Amino acid sequence: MDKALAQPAAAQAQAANDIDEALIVDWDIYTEPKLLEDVHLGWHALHDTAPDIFWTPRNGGHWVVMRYEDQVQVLKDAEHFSSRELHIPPMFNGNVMIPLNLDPPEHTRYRAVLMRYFGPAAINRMEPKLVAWAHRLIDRVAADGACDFTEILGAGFPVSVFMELMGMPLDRFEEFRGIVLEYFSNITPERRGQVQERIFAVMRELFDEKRRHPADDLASALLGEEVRGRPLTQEELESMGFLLFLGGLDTVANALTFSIRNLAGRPDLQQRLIAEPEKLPDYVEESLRRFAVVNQTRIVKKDTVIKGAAFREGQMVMCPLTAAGLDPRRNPQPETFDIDRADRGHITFSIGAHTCIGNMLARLEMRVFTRVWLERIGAFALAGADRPAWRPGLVMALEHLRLQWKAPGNAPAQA
Amino acid sequence: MAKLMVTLRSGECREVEWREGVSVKDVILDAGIFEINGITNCGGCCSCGTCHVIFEPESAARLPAPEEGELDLLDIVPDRQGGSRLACQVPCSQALEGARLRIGSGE
Repeated sequence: MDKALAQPAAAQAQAANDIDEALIVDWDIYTEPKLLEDVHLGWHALHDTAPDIFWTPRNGGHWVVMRYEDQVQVLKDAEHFSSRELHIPPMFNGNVMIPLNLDPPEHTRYRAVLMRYFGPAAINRMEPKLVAWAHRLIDRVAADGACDFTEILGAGFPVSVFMELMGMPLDRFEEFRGIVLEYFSNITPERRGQVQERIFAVMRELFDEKRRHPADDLASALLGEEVRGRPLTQEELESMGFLLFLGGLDTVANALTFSIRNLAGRPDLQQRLIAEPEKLPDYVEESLRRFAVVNQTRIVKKDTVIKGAAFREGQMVMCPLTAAGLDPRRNPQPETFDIDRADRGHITFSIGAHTCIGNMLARLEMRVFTRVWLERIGAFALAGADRPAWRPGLVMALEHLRLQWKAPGNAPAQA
Repeated sequence: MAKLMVTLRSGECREVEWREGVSVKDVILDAGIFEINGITNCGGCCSCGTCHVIFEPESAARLPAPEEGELDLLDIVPDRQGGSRLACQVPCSQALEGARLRIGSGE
């Protein structure tokens, strides 16, 4: 961890003192009522009321960048905006996620190691496995005619795929999900630090196990990987494992749950995707645009000014990626869900050096799951009129999604 | 003039116009050639390796040498050759005039 960036809160507050008052908006990314009502439209509401870039004193104080173009600029600019600290409120505790917390050029050598496993060819080869997982999990609920989608399928599908890819023990699914759900909930930096230690312990245990019993999985493969001609160190392995754990166990689950919630309310779109499965890639891209998951963060490394906002070294910056997809200057009528939208723009997987390394896997998972789900279940709808249980914060989620459909007899259909 | 000769995976050869100040990736995408991953790329930040192209030796020799990060990513490209580059890291300039390249296999 770069000590120069570990600025004490007092110094940050002082730097915050000279922020133009017109740029200050009171906005709590964890508890703001508008976000609890709808995490996406809640952020989008600020497009009408807040400056393009504003400062909120909440959660240690941080900048928020609301427009697509400005987010692209910030996220691609590693000279002024570093990834060394990514938590709001900041943790400054020295635990590093490789390569997410590194800046180029150091970042790229580790990124390359992982890209070998997350590139287009490696991911496309996984499709038959994804199809099998989708059927296996849908088998569990198809005959019931109803389910709470979020955990059973929304998380069950991508997290099972990921745990199998990594070589993690599938019988610990619920334990690992519990860890990651707590990590992204509204907890203190101290508690988050404790949860981090637990994840490091899980990964340490996993790599130890793979050293003893190597298998055909990513954890075993990483043990044999080299960076610049030398094997990865234990510290580097655990650090990469920590990142993969957080990235693999929650984000796609949320993207999938958001998209299926929307699809449940659109019988017309269900019919269309059944009739035109070739539109699934457009459907997935529109879902990603309309219902983004991650509110990407940076720490200012070098003072700079954008649109009158004076970013000072050590200050935290948030780019709510949903605000980029919902920016009316980039996507006209952004609230409308339109799979035929021309020139769609989103950065839901972020952009620049830290573009989500799992984006090809996530996209394939969403396409495969939606296709198999519609084949197996057909028409489906929201069950009841529950107030949606949104989880705002750094990674946004929907904690429950009750669905219903016409059960196809007692015996679940098999593929 | 300002032309590049781009060979697609199918073997078809296309003449693509380049312009100063943008990357080879940008001109290829702008020409409607989407074989280099137009959607899944990192936005041209030398971070995903999906815009792999192979220049003919004579053309490659005219280019500025790749930097460290680009070499790291080229290490993971299975069909890497002498003239391999990431298109996002090659700026368009007069040195490119008439250069010949083909799109990497994407494997």
